[in-house]
Amino acid sequence: MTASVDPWTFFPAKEYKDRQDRVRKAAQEAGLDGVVVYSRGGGPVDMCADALYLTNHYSQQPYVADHVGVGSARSHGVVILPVEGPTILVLDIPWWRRDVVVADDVRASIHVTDRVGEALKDAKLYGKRIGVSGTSYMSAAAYIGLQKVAGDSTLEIVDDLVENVRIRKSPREQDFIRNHVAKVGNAAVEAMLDAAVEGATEADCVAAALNALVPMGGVLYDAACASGPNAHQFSWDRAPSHNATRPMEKGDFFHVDCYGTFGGYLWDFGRTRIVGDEPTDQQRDLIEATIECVEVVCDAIKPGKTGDDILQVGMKWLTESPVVKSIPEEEAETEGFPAVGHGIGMSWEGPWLMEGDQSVLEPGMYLAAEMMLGHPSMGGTFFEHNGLVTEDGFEILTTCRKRWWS
Amino acid sequence: MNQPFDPWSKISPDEYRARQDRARQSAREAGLDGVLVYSRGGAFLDMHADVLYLTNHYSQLPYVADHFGVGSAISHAAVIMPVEGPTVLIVDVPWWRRDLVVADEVRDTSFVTEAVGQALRDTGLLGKRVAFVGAGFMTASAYLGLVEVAGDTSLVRMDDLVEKLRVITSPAEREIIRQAATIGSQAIEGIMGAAVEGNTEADAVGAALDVTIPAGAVFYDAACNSGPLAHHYAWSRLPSYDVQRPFKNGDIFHVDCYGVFGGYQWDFGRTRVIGDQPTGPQQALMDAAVEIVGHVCDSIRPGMTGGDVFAVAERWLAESSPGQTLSEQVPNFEHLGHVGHGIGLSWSVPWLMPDDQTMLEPGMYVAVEMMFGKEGVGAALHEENGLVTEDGFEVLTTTRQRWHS
Repeated sequence: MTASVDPWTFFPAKEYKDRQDRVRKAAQEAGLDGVVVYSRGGGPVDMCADALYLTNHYSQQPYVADHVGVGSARSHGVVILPVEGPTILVLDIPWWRRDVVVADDVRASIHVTDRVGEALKDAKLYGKRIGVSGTSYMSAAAYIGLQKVAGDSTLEIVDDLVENVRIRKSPREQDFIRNHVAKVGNAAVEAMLDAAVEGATEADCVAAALNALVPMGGVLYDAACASGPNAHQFSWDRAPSHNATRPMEKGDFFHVDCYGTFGGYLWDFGRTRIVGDEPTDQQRDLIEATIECVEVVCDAIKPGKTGDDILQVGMKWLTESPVVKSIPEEEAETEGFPAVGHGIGMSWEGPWLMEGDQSVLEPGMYLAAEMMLGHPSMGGTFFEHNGLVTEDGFEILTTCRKRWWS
Repeated sequence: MNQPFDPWSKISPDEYRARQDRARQSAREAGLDGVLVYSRGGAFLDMHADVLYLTNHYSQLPYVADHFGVGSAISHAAVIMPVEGPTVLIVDVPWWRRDLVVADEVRDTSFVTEAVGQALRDTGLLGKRVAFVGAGFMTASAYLGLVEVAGDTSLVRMDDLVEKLRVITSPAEREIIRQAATIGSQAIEGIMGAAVEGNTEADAVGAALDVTIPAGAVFYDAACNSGPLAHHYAWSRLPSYDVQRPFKNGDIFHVDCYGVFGGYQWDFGRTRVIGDQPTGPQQALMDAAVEIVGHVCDSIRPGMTGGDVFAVAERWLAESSPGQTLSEQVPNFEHLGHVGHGIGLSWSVPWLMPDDQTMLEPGMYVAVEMMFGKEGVGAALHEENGLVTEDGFEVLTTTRQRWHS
């Protein structure tokens, strides 16, 4: 299967300009004179969202730390948006995509930090109140550099300013996610689980996913997985997050949380399979409980609900489930993941389906609902769906099969 | 292919403890009271080096930004080492590898920043002068959180404190590096072997993945280009390869492929003309790239500086016959900023560029690279990896250099 569409020309330039204007407006409403937006590329996909969303720019230049002296803020792209004035994009590569990038003024330099300083002056933001969006998506060294070149400008951190614009997907984004992103993710996860057979390693499963998604233009972010004796953990191996040496045995749990992108937009979901497809009653109950919990959460998602409302639905189900009650209690080793899901898009984002989250769900939000259950004495299962909030509910986009036993 | 050995248990706990002690010693010599080292994981491999080097810890937990409130500095880990006192490691995952990680005390939490503050207090470093390592390998928000929890602690930025320790590899490291180079060589042989008419860049990269994934390696990226815009280093983004355009005979295709095994990188590339019948200008570019890289590799000796090695390349361009021909044919070849750099757990010193005063020493792991490009012709990229030896440079990459006869 090949790529169904060119993601980089899917959105018209006007949509990017509208996004820039919406961010300008948000900056103005926050009492700022402008905003500087940092994102990082370099191959990875978990710090790239805001600049890509605003300008369709992503730098594939491998990251080199500032202290090396081969430029500054390498792999970063920086968007300077005065409330009144042109959009300036500072990037670190000469081969930036003139055919797809949308900005009034693009400046390429390996000395990104210095060029940002100049752009702030040219945009008449120097000495003014400037929002900084992206302290989570830039290196500390790049920020320290920004502080130096910004002179006496007031830098106010507004990390969610662009994200709050991104969070409601446009009709075209919804179309893209529904018909293209989910297609790549479903093919990848289905291939991965289909490969989870006796004698295969976790790496063989991941290779099967890559064979499916690479020709489609997808990027595998990671496949956090575990099996057999480590299956009660979310993941066991590191760098890579899959094991390449242990052949899986009949009766092993194998579960995966697979995340990747197509055109910058994430899929993020997972499944569990018992190798050999003959689960014990306990294994089957655990897998079914995980599926049911996630689907109960999905059924509860409606516009007008808050993230906290949805968490409570999940918690109520967990509290009442006889299967969950049968899992031995143990002292938590860490705080764990305190949610039953979260927004996705070009990054993990709000709303977080967790306690206290008062974000109100709206049509066009793209969500992941997830659950993992397990114990060292039982193994572990993981299940996750992705979907779009609709006018009256939640449209599940993960059509990948849920059960492998007959 | 299943990997023949486990890289994560190849380096002994004593070696990790010795690394920690050397970092302490560096801080002591700088007149500081301790060291604080940050690195970031989360499945990516360009900000992870220092903590992995010191403790054998890597977090595969996907990165979640601080402002969500799910935790702080997630995917990060921090090592706190008083000059006199235990090594404390703060990690963000409960499933940290108790069978591998080397530290006197490991604390796991979703709130890494707050735990770092507590560890500074517990180790007596709060309010003292501490070497701060990792501004290039942590997020700005993690840094801003640190500044808050560190109170009046003086954070003395020493970005290269651990890197300087890392740059001379140990025998155990070299064993892993040789394996990394072998996997990388097979991966790039796979990529270039699949660079045939009708295939796409994605098909070529897929051939590399078929090698690297079963071998237990991580594929970092394959920056490549082909066809009409091949004079650029790369063109496609996310992924860095094109999935649509089938190669045509006569296209020039070049790739710079980097990945890791056991945390250690390979980083090298090759160029092939689809159909293996290059034009004269294409062949001149490719031969020049291969020859200058080979000449630089042959010239490397312990005792030279990075700047000295760069000068070797400059002389080759000015004085050799291919270099002079190249200058005539390709007046606008890519700016010669550097001809290579150290590699290992990250890109690192020595940088083979003007003014680099790093002295080459046996055990350094170095990449030597060159790209020549011209619009209308394309570009040729060639890169080798190797180890500085007692009397020269041992090239570890075994991928063939030329596909045309």
